[in-house]
Amino acid sequence: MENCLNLEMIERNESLLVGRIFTKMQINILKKKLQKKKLDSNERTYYYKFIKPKIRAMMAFFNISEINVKGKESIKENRLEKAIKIVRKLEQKHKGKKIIISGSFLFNKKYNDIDIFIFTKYDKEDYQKGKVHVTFLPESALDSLFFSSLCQISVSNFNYALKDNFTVELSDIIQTYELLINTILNEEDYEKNLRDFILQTEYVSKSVILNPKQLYDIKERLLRKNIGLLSNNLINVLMLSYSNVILKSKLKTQVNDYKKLIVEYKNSKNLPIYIDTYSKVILLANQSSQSIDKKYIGV
Amino acid sequence: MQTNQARALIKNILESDVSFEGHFNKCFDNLKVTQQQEVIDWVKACKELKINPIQSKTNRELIGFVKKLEVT
Repeated sequence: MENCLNLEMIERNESLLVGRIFTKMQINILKKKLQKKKLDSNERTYYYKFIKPKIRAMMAFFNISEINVKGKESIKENRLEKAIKIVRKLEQKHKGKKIIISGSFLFNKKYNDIDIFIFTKYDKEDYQKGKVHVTFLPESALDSLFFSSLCQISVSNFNYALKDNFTVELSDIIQTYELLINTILNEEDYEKNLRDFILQTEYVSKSVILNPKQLYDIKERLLRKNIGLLSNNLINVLMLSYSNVILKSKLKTQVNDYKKLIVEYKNSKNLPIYIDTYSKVILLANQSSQSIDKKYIGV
Repeated sequence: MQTNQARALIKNILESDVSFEGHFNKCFDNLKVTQQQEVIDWVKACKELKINPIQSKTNRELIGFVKKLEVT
């Protein structure tokens, strides 16, 4: 139940709540609880005997469920009930934890895994039980682009304020691209890398945070395509998203570093691809700067 | 293979007193014997410059090598 409330909600409505629904002392105890501070025995009695039942009653009165469903229109029939059951079951095992189900289980007829994410302060090992795949993430992940995407079609036991503004640096997107190409060349499973790449490129070039279904569809279309297509995609995105000055200076350094490295790593398969891709961006950025200059001097 | 054996083997291959992140033991322990051998062979291949390098995004002087292992 506590997952459905947050401190900000209480503070914002404090003047309405005090005196009408809660006493000042009860509000202070509730705030303390939401701040995850330790309650003394007296406060605990107040909390469980008076405060929590009142909140439960209000939620029931307003038909507010403790389960938060997003993107209901995209969720397949019967899957919602199953998802709620899974969340309820996991709540027993991981008490007080924020739990969210997302991924193809909710919106696709066929699915491989049921992806569940549990937010926790402490490092825990992910596990798989049958089709259920549980991943533990730090609470800081709630502010990530990844979370803003996955929660758009999801079933969870908590409310959250979504962040919709992210900074994706050129170095971030380049690293995502390089890891993706490297994973493909190593003939390893690259679905996760591809998802990160699509999510970041769509966000920096179009300011769009894809929902999991959109992300899944684009990923499926790109899965069987070649590296050239991914590289061309990156070239377009970089040209649309960063200034010519930044692209030229950063990528020239990158190309020079890789040209030195390739002397030592003669047989590397990834470096020639990176050099080729970044050189194309530099060329385009040069051409683009020249055409801007020509316009400026009226040629 | 025991983790201390693996650490010694890797140091020997790299001919360097490399340090290991605390996570190493846990990860290495969870691998199948064949995968543990795969990691050792991969370290050898890194030393022989046969593995694709990737530059660190935060420190240009650093290069890294990435290998994914399927753990079930």
